[in-house]
Amino acid sequence: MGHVIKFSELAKALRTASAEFNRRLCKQCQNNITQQRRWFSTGPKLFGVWEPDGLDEPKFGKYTKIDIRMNGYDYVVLESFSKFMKSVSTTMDLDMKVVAIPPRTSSIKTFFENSTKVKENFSLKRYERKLRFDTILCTKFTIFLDVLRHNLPAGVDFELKSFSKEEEEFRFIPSEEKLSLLARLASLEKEKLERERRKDKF
Amino acid sequence: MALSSFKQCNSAMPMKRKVKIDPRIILEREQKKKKKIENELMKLERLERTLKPVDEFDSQRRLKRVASERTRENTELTREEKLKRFHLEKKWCVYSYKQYKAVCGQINQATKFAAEALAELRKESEELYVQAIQEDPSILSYSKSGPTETPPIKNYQFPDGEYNEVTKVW
Repeated sequence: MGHVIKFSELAKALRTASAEFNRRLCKQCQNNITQQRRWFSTGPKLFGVWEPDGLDEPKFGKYTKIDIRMNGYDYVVLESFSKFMKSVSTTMDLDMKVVAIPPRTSSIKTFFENSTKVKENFSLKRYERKLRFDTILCTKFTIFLDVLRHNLPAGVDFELKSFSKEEEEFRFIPSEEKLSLLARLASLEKEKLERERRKDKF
Repeated sequence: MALSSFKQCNSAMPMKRKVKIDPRIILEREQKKKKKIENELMKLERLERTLKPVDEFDSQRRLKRVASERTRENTELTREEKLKRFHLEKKWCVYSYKQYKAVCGQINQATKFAAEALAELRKESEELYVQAIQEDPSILSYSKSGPTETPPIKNYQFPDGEYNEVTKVW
């Protein structure tokens, strides 16, 4: 955990850009400038208002509810890579969750040339993992993505997606009760529409 | 029409008159039913939903049943073999630690250079700095596939075929 610079410490350097500027001047010039600032900043006679520094700083943007979706036909490679990315996220102090998603099987057939005669028949599973972030600073995210890109193993694809409820539904077993209730609701609405149609006729 | 009149002649009971119900009452009844169903749905949502089983994690369950048949006795290793393995493990530890340090070094470099670049940009113009800090919505369409062992074959003839999704529908 201690091997990586914390971004929060560097942010202090960013805020005081003037400090960097000051360092490049000779000592005399530095003193002159700071003295000038002192005259202006503490002056109830001049302005009547004292504002502390660092309030109007532009805030760093954050990505919210972003998923990195990793796919692959070989789950050993995929699992080890997701473990590696989890360790990277802990070193960088990001709150990240790895979510395993049930694989999708597909039967793949190759045909002979100019015909639909089946040559080979494979049944392959495409395994999936999601790296889920709740909120993350934009700058940290680009660095995380760089590490991910440079260490991508063969046979693994990834894409960036925002969290969507419909995709999340795929993880869960749909309960029969819920489906029957929804069907009843739909039938009620249908009756309503039919009644209105009859009214329009008359 | 003729059939219906024929039926009416045969029936013993007189036909019921259609009672005209007030449309407001119909609406009320409907709303009550709807509310009931919606309340039940809310209750179901509060319960925890069952996750689908993930295939990769399930294989251990099947093997546990057959574990008694499949276990083998461990052979005793010679002293040289043990030392060999011990030294190999040490070397591997050192190697993996170096890898980890390299990754950390890359991350540190990237953060440091990014911070320096942002500081320089701020000196140039505040507007661009504020823009640079904001999130990039076009990032969400980014995708990449892993490296391949060989470059793509020129003029490769793709075989005809089809993909059919056969995932189990629960």
